[in-house]
Amino acid sequence: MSLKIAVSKGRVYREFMKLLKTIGYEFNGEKDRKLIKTDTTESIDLIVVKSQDVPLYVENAYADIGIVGKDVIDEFQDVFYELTDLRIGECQLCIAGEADFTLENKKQLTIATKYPKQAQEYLVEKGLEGKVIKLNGSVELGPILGISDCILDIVETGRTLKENNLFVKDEYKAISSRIISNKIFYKTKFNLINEFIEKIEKEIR
Amino acid sequence: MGVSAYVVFRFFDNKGGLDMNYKEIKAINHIDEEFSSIMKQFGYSKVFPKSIEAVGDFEKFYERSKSKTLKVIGNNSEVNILHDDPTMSLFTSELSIEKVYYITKSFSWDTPDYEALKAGVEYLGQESIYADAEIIFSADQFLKSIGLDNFYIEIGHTHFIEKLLDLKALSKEDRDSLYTLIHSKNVVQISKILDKYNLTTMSKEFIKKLPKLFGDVDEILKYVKQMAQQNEKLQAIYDYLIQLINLLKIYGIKSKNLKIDLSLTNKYSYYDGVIFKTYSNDFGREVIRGGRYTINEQPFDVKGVGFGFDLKNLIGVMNMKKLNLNKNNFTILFNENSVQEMVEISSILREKGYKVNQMQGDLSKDTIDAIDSEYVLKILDDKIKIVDNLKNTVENEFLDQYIKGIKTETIVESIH
Repeated sequence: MSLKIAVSKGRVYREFMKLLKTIGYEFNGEKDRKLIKTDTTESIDLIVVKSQDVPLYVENAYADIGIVGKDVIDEFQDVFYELTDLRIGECQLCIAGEADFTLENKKQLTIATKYPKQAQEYLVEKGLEGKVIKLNGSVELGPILGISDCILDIVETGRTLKENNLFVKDEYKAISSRIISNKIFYKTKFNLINEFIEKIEKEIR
Repeated sequence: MGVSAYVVFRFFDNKGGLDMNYKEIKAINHIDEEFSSIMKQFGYSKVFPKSIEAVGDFEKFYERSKSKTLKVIGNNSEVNILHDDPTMSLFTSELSIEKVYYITKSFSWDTPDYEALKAGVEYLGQESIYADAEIIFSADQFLKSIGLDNFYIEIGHTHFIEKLLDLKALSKEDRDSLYTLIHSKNVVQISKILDKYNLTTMSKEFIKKLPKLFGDVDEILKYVKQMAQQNEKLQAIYDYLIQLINLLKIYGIKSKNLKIDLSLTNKYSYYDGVIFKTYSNDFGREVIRGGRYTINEQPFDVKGVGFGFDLKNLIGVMNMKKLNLNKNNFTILFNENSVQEMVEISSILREKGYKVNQMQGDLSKDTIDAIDSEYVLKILDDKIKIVDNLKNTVENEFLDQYIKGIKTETIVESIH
């Protein structure tokens, strides 16, 4: 029986691939555009999907486990197990705004974001009244077009912010990629999942 | 109340119409029949929970109970609430009976059309292990009645972690974090928090072990016994679990179908005591979830035990396992020249207790597939074509012989 792993496209996929190689898994056609990749021993099937879809694949049992950032995980509640921190895909979830924007003395705030649940939690934690505007991409446009006061988004190198004249105003939380598991498969395929996680943990700890 | 639940549901339904196909409707009918039949056998009465009610004093309770709700402003500016858990409205009703069940549509944030079809059972008032065992056994019997026989019943107890984490040394913040991390089975983070404290090695090991403390009943209980010897707060829970498992075995539930998970918490529910769920090996979602609750805060004063399930989720399992989703036993295709024969055959079959669907015309294969009958009969002058969908065979017979045969049941005996 192979282990089905849904993994986020892009940087997380590349870093996870490196990790898999270090613990002995080999893939042919690693850089091709196939969306399902099987390792040479046929013990792992990688399903490469958009990060926001990883939890859905896991929750709905199309994958046994998933590799996805904490930013995406925290938009869901209690639909999968969050098993371990892989320490890859590290970045920050930040509040950013234009140069003259400040959080000081703010009582009300409008935040544009791909992460509405966490934006709402941010407002509550800071004791602010406010509004959250959900955007599916290009959230940087929020402050530029006056849709919002600021944005809540992940910041890796800061290049996109810089190119759009936006600045980090508050580092809300550190993000890294985690292994999540389908709640039932974690039990019915425990040996398969646990063995894989133990191999990974041995490598990263 | 100035707004009806129906209006609210339709407001959100951007597709319009009934979001179910023929097979789903048949399957829902089948589940409804079996569920009602089992629960009536256990002495339960059907009730009809409200899907909308005035917020009033309940607002804070709904927030605390983690029920996902939607507030609706009525015509007279009164605030009403739609909730995703039909049980809630049973708590607000003054029911004079203890044993109730329901099948109802309810509001849901988690479906594309903002509604779900839910069913559940509540045994209200009784605070006894016998009521707990009865509820778990009735869930087992219901699943068997719809043809599911290879499933696990997993049992936990919400007080187990509470007692284990009841350590003065832990800060409230860390205790809350541990509770969440145990719930999500995050062993690494649990260790990091515990490493900050000077707890006994035994306490640390017990807590670290919790996320993986699930599986075989005898094995887990053996370990819990060991834990209870070191931590007397756990003894009562151990005694309860031993007694409950014994009761379930008396009811006839096999050990191999029983599992224990002591990391189950009430973090996202109102359960307070035993908690259980059922699942099967190859379907990655739980089928039934239930447990005991005691809610003793204004305006509620309710205790009970129950379980609930989502009908569409259950149909998913049934489809995957290719279980009978309430097929018509027979569909008879007839034309204007064969009405008399159709009436004669359908009457004989119905008298014998079979379900018979009669349809006019010569239907395409796709339509016949959609009808989803075990047998499709097509009357052709003095002959009858018999499509046996169980064996995937097609036979032709003389009509009079066939009628004679079904009168003595030689033709249809194979389906039961």
